[in-house]
Amino acid sequence: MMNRRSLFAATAASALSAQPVSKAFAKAMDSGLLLDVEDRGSIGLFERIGSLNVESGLDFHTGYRVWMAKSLHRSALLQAFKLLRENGYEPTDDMPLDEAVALFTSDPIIALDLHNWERTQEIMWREIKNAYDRDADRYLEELASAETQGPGGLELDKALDIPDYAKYEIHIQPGGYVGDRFAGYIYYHGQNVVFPNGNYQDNLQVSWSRGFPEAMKGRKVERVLEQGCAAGQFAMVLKRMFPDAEVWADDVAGPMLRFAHMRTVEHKLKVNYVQQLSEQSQFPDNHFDLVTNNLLVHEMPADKVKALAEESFRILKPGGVYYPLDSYSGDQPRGTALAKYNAWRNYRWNHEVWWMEYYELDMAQAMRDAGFIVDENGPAGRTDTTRNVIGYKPA
Amino acid sequence: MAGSAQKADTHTTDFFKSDTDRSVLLQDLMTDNIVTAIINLGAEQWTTRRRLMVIEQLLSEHGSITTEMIEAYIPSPEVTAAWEQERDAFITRIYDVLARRGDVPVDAKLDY
Repeated sequence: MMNRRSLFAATAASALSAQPVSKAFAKAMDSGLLLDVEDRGSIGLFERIGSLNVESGLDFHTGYRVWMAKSLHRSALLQAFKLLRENGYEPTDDMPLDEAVALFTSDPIIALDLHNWERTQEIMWREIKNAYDRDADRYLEELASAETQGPGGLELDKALDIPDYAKYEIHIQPGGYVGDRFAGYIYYHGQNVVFPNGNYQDNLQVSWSRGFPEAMKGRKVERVLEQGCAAGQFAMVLKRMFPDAEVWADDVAGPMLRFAHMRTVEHKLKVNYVQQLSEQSQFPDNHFDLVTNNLLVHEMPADKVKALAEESFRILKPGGVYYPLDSYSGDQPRGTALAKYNAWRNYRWNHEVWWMEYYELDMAQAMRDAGFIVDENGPAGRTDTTRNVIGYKPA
Repeated sequence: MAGSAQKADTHTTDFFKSDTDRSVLLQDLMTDNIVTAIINLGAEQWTTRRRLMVIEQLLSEHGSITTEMIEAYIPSPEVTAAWEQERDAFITRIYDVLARRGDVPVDAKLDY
């Protein structure tokens, strides 16, 4: 039996065939242009995947998740309430994690809800990955052609010692963020299934940026950093929101940064991407007016989240703002048996390996310990909360 | 000009593989697999149906079509919305039964 902690060789090994470059690639590089592989065009911000059949399969799973939310998940919720009452609990009561897991996983509807959530995600990732692997040479050339293009820049660090905590297949994405050459493409398209009703126009990132105008009201915004930028969608939103600011974005994962940079170049936005550990960055002291992250902290162990807050404090200018956006950065529910089960479900079967640490983490305290003046009622970013924790570096 | 060395460098690293491919999330492995197969069948059926809708749309607009036209076709926002409605109805017709909450066992006595 395979030990799941055994390190898997990344797909790089099989991808390293030193094939000659195509004429299209040579021409693009000679003329200093991006080789944009876009066989089926774009709709607004969304670049369509290269096959109608794959697109339709993904469309099915997007719709299936919509149905799940309306029907199956609702039934599962009703079953959960029924189970709680049958066992002498109110829906708002808490219970030990192992009891909550045992109680809820015993129910066939709740089990099916978990099953469908997991399997649709597995199928979706596999379909996207296969689509890019089938046409790998062209997409590798597309990525390579973008590396030297601007506006903006891409600094990859081949010598970076990527820590184990970042090497898991989070979201059960094949290879995670670091182990598949097409991780950026896979994550980008997968969001249309994972997020309700799709994310075709980066609509999630746009809607979750709603708190910035209030957070930065009356403040100079000359330099902005997004930590853990993944596919770069939030960094692009930040650049559009603060067009005169110098926008930086970092991530530990090279494949994600390559995709992020390529897409940002395509959209002619100037964002500087850097491969590094966000909690141990190469930026100077007192450098940024705004440091933010979106869906990052739940991907890190609690001690790294604390280190991230300390690093953010170091690189922010006096008076600068630290604005982390994630699943428990506002008033999202915690402290009930059902919330605990959902956290466990994400941890165990979405392979969000640091989720339970995040569930227990007091983010506001971590920020206070780092030196920030903290407002737990800061402007809401994500749409599932009415407030968000925000930290100010004393002026 | 960048050469094959640059092309070959994918900036990937080793990773910890998840165990989801060995997971049993329903009462037994076969039930788990069969339900997954049903989901796959729905995706295949929808894929065929959507391709047919593209073909019909193109035929009504152009009279004759090619494979390239089918692949490149971009539906209008109105057509997209109509197809989404059709997709959601298609899924509901097939799968809504999975959300049925039953609690009367086969050997339950009549309770009138």
